Amino acid sequence: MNNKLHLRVFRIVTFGAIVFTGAASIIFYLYTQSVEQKSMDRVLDQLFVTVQRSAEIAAYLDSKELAEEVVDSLSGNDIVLGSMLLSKNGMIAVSNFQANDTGDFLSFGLFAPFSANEQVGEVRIQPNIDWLNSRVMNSTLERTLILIVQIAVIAVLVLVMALRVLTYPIQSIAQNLHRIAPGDSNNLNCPKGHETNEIGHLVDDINKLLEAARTTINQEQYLRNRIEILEKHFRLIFERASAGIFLLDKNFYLNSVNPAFKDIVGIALKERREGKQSIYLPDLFQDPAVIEKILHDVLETHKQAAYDLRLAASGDGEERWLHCLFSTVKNDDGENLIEGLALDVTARTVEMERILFESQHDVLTQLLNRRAGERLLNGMLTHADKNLGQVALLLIDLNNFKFINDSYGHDAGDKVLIEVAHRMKSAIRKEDTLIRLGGDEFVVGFLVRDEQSDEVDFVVRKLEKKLNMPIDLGFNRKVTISASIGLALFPRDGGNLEALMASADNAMYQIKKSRA
Amino acid sequence: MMRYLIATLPILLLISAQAWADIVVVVHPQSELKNLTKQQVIDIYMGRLQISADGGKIVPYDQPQDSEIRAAFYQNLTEKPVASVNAYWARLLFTGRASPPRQPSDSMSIVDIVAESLYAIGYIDEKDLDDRVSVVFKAMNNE
Repeated sequence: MNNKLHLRVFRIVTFGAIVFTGAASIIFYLYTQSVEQKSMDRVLDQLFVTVQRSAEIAAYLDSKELAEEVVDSLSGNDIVLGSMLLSKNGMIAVSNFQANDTGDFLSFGLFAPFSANEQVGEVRIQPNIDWLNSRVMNSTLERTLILIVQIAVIAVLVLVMALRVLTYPIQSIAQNLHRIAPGDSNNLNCPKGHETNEIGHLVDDINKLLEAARTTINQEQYLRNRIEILEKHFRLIFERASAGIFLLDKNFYLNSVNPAFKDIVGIALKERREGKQSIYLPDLFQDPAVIEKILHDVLETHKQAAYDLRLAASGDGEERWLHCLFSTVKNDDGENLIEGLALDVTARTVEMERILFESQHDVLTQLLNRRAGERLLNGMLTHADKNLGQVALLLIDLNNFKFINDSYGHDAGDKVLIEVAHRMKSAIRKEDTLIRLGGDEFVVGFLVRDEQSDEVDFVVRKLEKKLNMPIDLGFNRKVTISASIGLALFPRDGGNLEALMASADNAMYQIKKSRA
Repeated sequence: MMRYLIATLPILLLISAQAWADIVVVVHPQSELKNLTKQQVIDIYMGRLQISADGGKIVPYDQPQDSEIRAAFYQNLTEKPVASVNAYWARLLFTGRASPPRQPSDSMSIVDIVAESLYAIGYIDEKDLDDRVSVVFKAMNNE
């Protein structure tokens, strides 16, 4: 079945017209019948009136000739089937009257011409019902035919107009719409002559919709492109950054890390990853407890924290340092996480330590130099002063070092100095201070623990003993040196380092003089 | 008679003085017709009643066509204008079934005819009445 719009309209109109025509025909038939019936009754009345006078005279005078003339003239009418005239005295004139008992006739009384009260007869007229019905039927058929023709014309007109006004414009709109792809720049054209009606509004609305869709699509495309670019940048930053980037959950387990972080942490990370789903960050470092404290602080205060932290020793035993920057971030669920940045500062740290070491130590003997040593000794004095303790200061001078230097050369001299430093180090406690003042002069400083004992003498004798042992210079050459040791005690020999040094120097000078 | 008078009283008051007195219907003294009713008079003059009881053919005589007495007679009898009576006869003339009463020239001629014919009947002004005829019906003078 063809389901095109205009045919559907046509079908509906045609069906409605058929139903309407049928109903109208029936109503019209009934109406016409009633009207014709009334009209017939009226015409029959009028017919009777035209013959009334003659009929009355005929009945009055019992004139059969006159009566027959009357009934003949009545029966000559189309609407009269038959008629009869009866007089009171029994005279009867009949014309085509069908005698039956149904009473299907009209009866009119006849009265004497000059005495209205005396009825002299009666006229009976049988109406021609068949003629009436055929008239009604013909009239109805005629009207119905006209109606059908009118409706047919209207239906065809409706079909044509529906085609022109509805179907063609909608078809053209639909075809145009079919060709339009979402987001392209085409608009619908309004069919001519429909700019201001519903079809025009429809086209306008569709165009607005298309416009909106286009704008949305363009915006989305633009945003998507931007997001893609940003994403690329971020990924680049994250993945190609030389700094390690990592994200911790609130329990300090690693959520995500970038390749740089893996590189920096390296084997340590790999080792800890084995057999574990996630890695506990503090485990990666030398001192996990310190890291935990730092992370707790960051979580609580939401303040950034930066530390140089040493990684846990890896397989090759190399010392590695990270500069770490911690700060909190909130994720989409409002949870506080910790993000971190890690830079490998091992090289820098080692270098700095070397520089620091060099600034404080004598290059040759690796002992503290004068400046660093004096700072240390001053600290020691301050401490002893507070605790009412004693500090012993030994000034040590090698006696025949100039001779060795001159006889065996500077290399041999250096060797002697290194050996001497080594021997003195082994003669004192770890917490005691050993300084090379310069040349062949050394200082040992230590806190006296037991003032009643001969602790200080013991140290002095131990030093002398060790220094008096022969020193092997290689190539079967051995030298023996001795040292002059001047002693000063704090606070007995001076209240400050300068006074103590002067006192110790004086004591040593006395010893040297006595030896010579 | 009294009742009739009372009934016509309004008309009497309206109509001015008439030139004639009562109208009487007269027949031959030996006629079978005695004391006719108004209806009988009408039927005789309209051609309905033509045969008397003894089988004789009744012949009615009329006053001249345009006379006042004729107009008064029919007016009194039928209560319709004389013109309708003229129309009645004109209609019947075509059928040939009946003919209107003959019209002698005056009342005296009518009296003469009635006095000599057993079946003749006529109407006259009461003042023209004589012994040769007898009255069978009296139409009241409207005056």
